Amino acid sequence: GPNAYGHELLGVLGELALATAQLPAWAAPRRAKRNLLTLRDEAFVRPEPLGLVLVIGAWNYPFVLVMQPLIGAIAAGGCARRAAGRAARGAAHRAAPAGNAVVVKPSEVSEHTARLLADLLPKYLDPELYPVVTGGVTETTELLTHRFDHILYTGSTAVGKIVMAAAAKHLTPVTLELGGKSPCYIDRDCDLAVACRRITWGKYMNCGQTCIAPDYILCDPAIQAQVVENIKATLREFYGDDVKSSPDYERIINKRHFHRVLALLEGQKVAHGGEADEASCFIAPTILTDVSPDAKVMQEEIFGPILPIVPVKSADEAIELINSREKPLALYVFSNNKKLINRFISETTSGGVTANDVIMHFFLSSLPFGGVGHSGMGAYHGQHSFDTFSHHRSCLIKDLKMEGTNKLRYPPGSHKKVAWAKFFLLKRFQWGRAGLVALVLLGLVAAVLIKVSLA
Amino acid sequence: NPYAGLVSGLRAAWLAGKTRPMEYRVAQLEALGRFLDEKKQDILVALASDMRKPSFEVEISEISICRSELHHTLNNLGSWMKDEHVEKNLAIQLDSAFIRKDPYGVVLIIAPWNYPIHLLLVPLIGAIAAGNCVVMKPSEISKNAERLVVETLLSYLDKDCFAVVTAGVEETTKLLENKFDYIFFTGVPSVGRTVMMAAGKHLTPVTLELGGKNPCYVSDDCEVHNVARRVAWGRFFNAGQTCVAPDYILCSAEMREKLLPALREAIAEFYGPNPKESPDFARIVGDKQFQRVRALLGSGRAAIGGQVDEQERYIAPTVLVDVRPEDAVMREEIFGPVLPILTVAGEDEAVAFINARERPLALYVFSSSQKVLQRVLEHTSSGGFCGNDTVMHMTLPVLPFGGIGHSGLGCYHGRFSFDTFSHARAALLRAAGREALNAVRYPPYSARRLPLLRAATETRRAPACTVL
Repeated sequence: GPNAYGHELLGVLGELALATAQLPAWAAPRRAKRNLLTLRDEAFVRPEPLGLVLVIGAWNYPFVLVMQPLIGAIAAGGCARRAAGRAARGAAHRAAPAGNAVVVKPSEVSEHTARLLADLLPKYLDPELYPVVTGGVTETTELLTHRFDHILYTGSTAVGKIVMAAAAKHLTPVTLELGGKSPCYIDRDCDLAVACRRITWGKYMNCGQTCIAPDYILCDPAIQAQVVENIKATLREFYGDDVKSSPDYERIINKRHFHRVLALLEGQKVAHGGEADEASCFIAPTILTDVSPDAKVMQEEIFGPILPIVPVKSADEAIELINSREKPLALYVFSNNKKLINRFISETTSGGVTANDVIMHFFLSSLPFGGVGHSGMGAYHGQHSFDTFSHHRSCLIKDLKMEGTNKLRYPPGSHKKVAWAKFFLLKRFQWGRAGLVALVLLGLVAAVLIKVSLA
Repeated sequence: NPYAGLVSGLRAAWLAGKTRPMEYRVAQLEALGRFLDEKKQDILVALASDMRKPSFEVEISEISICRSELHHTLNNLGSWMKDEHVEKNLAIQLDSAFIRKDPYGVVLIIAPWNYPIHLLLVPLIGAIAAGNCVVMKPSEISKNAERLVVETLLSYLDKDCFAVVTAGVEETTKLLENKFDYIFFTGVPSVGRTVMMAAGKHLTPVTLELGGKNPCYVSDDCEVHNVARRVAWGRFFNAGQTCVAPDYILCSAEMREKLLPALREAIAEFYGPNPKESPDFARIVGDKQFQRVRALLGSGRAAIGGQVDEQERYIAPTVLVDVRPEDAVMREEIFGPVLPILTVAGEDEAVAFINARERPLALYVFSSSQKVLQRVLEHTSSGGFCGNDTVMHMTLPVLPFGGIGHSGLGCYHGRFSFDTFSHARAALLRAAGREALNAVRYPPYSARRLPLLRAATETRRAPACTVL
């Protein structure tokens, strides 16, 4: 429906447009500043394709989490030579690749999208260069024994460790987009109605199965009841009085996760929701109050439509709680107080932050999207995708003649030589102002010469 | 775990926020600068004891280069630390979007023995600049440098936030069982694998500066004397114990005949008629390494050099010819003063030879033709590339230094060191107002709203034609 379009396709179309528009700029060699010893030389960084890339997708946003990395991997490296197609699967890291080849492994849990990708991609892309591999744990484990030049994995922390271990055997760099519990702090000084509407949107979209959904709320006990009321009101606005019959409310992906999520309600105070129906994997939007940090629901990423509220007496307590846990993928703070927001950002760490909203930092492609610690490593989106799938090769091209200054570095050594060598190595030449002055002088000289010649 | 206390102590200091303020970082970096100035003699002596490193080499490759990185970092730290504001789309024009550089926390730097000060300090500078606490693990093989780091270097730094661990293989394995927030390793690929596996258990990101065999292609259109000098300098510096040294030469039989006398001349120019007596030629660091390199002398035949002295761990500057690709000297990184020359029919054969092997840390091409340089550059892959010289590309702090494939993962130097040890954290600061604009994204979803949402957020493809 429209949510799939909004959440999955819109992002992909945007990335495609950006990549095709910016590719020449991204792929161009980047010139570097030189020192006195290397003044006459060319120094630049050349983005080159890595070779063979493996993209492992997740089941919650099965299309975008495969397509966005794929776009980056295809774009990376030189564009003009991509058509040569020398990078066939096995030979990719042996020959100098003309561009990245990409093995796409969609999640088997979202089986319909996996089948769709397996059917459609080969119709639009060369299956020799961009094969789609389907299968479950066994096939993925087998796939991971092969050598790749980069692996991008989206999924759980536990499997992230398995992917990194497999990559380590081949010294393959990885980008791991994992998860965790993304905290959401609501300050007393904020527009509570707006805050709660935005939180409700981010929490319950895709039935809570979003890696950057606000996992739990931290707020002063004094505003807890109001938060609950606001969220309830918003839920009615969004899904009507009977959530189950709203066409805009999703379901849990399968029975296993249905039971996992439901079990988190054990022993908790349900302020709203809690209804479930196994047949359709339906769990109603649920709010828990007065949740203890030691509760079961606070030990793992919820990845479902359950929103615990953990009361904290102050921002200090909130920050301490956040820092005592694994680094989250996203951090959210709602407040009118800019100083407080800055404090939260400065005294914690996380993959990314959105203040006074949720999720939105994901949609700006100029921002790198990734985790830190157990929530991941590396980042992508926009140019960050291009850079992730490229090797930035430093190049220095010198003159074969001009041996003069080189003599400084050759043995036999002497103290005088050391002083000169240090002088040349340490100083760096700024063309800016000097260049401008030189240009002006040149212009003056040219003007005089022209005048003289015409006279 | 014997190091758990040490690591948790540093983590407590980290959580207390000691290393974050700019003033603190600058103070620690300046202290490193004082170490380099005040203890220069000690550094010279330590490295002379470890591998008879000539004082000229110590000055430029251990002290000066660190000072360069230090100054570059101090000059730019303010701007590197600033939030990097990014381009916004229509929907968030009135919001603030930037990238915040967060320190990782407690980082581990493992340094090798060949440039024990340089390869510890340059990553350390980046780690401190980025606001981290650091555990340093200098190499136990360069014993005197290791002692210098423990007894002297550490005294210049804040011991609450910086520690040095002296450890052999077994203890280092135990050290790696602890959780670090970043691990920076310089060494051989096999140990790199071990480090990455250990890091993987904690999902710790890594930078691995490894090695390989750096090919050096010399095209026929070359003025041979400058080539010989530049290659000999890069190969025999530190008695060949340099990760970016040219490992082997590829050239035509014709060029080989010209190169040999030129190399002989360059070696004599540098080290005199008997390099063993030159104060400017180093020794192999230890007996094990000496035996390993000596065994490689059995490949092909020594056209230049070949003499050894086990007592001194001296191996003469040596050039091997008649070497076959399957020979021992071509199967591992040489890391010694031995330069094999293999003949190829031409550029294509050289490129094919290079591409059939693991991607090297550095690739060198000598040619007076820009076209040849460009072609080899485009048809090969390597960590870095230098045309018409050796080693020099890694002396510029503005060029990222790192490998690819088995030669490494990640990069550093200059700003890249700061970035390596920082987490680039995306931040979007919105305001509570303008909620009406958000209505487009809320349920109940309506297909009618999509065009508006797309218009506000989507990037459009630029038109193909442009007006000049």
